[in-house]
Amino acid sequence: MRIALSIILRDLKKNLSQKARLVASMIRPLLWLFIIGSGFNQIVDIQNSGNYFSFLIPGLICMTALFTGVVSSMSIVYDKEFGFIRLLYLSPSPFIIIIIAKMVSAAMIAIIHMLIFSIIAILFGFLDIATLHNPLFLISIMIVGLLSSIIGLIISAFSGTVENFATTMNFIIFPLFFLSESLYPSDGLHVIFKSFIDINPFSHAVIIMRESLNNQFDFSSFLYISFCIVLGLIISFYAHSRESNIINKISK
Amino acid sequence: MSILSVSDISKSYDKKKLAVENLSFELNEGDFFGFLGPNGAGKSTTISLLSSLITPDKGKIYFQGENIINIRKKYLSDVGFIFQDPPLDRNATVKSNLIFAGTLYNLNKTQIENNYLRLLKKFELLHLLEKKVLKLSGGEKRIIDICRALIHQPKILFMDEPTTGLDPVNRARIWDFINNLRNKSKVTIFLTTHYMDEASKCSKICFIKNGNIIKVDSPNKFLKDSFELVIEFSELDDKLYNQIKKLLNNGLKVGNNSIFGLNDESLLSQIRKISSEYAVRKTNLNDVFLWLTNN
Repeated sequence: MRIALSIILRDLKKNLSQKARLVASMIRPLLWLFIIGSGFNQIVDIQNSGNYFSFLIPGLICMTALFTGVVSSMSIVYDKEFGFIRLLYLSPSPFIIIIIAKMVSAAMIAIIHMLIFSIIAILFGFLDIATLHNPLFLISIMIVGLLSSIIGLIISAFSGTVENFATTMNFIIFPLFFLSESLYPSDGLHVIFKSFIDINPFSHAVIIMRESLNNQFDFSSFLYISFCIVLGLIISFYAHSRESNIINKISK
Repeated sequence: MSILSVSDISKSYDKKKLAVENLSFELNEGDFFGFLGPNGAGKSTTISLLSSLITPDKGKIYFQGENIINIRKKYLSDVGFIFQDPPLDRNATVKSNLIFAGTLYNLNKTQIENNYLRLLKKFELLHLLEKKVLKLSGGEKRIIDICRALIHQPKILFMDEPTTGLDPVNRARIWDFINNLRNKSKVTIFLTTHYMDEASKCSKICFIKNGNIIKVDSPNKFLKDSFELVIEFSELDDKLYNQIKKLLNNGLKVGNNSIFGLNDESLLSQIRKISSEYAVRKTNLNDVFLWLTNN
């Protein structure tokens, strides 16, 4: 437990001390909110969602988590580049504890970023202040944080260097974001797109978030995301423990 | 009883080539074991196997009589590793790095503090405690990394080229510490290095080439079994090289230099007739390394 805690504290300290990163991670959703949101609000009418901003906000909260969680989990690749990962691999602690600690720390960072974005949204009047003490919302950000961090952990297991990060963004993160219900509802879409959206766990994260802001809870999405988190944890554990992965990390 | 026993281990990463093949050697408590070989000889694979990070395809490694795979947690609590590139968090202070390392070994706060203070005092580096690692010199980083590897007082210390890239002053500092450590504790050291002057300090050395052990013995025995003298020529053409090789029945080209082993000094007069531009010196471990890994 102490080992997990010290890994979490180290990652939190390291990430939260990077103020520029925190600001940068807010810029992306704010640009979407103010530029895309304002533009689309003029032309889009989404049933049962008030205006487009109300529809967009849950997606943007999840977007903050997705990008932050993935980047934080990718810190394992930085740790590998600088040899730090060897300390973890060569410690007597069970490797699963290390993976869980990495997942929790990335999730916590994602949660902090989601809360900051939500506060900004409250300040601009897009969200009600009561949101911050809505237990459904708090459960949702925890689930979304964990999901984002696990996505990052899986990616980092197959990502050799930090240079692969742009590829990761283009081929994994953006498709996950765009093929979800973040920006538009999936009703009426072509069956192929709709199928992708239906199996995309990030899409379910957005659904959970949107429902929580309406004081509702989508239990089926919750179950699906929970299943994906557990499956992702198992995949991450095995992928990070692969011999080829270890050799690659050790010989760095 | 040996503290670490490597029994006939082999490992391949693909089916075509074995990275190490049938390695067997033993380390006794307090041994200073040098593991030497050219690049790509299988040293890193051996260290990965000894660290239990990868498992051998064949053979076993025993720590105090037990297979390390079965006692991985206990084994890793009793060994320490030092790498060429210190695995320290560059943005954290020396103190944070040492506390983190100690926590990974489940030491409590007092144990960690006592241990790092004792180690830093030994190196006279207490003033670095609050300094960030990125502000340290290469030598300081390496010494802090040694302290990191010793924080849990391991029984075996694996050192993978610990002084590569360091200036002579820092190399000397690190060696002073290693000698001090050996004198005051029974820690067993497994060292890989390319510096033969460092290897000469080992109690036992093992030469490895293409994944196979060539020989394990003490440095003195290696020197004793080798040629007494070495004749070194610079820029010897092929014709003269072959003439001398035929006369002495040995020879080796190393870059522009040609070296020959010599036991019978009376042959020097005949060599002088072929070429007089040579230097004669006593054989050292560097020569032994070249003979063993190139022949």
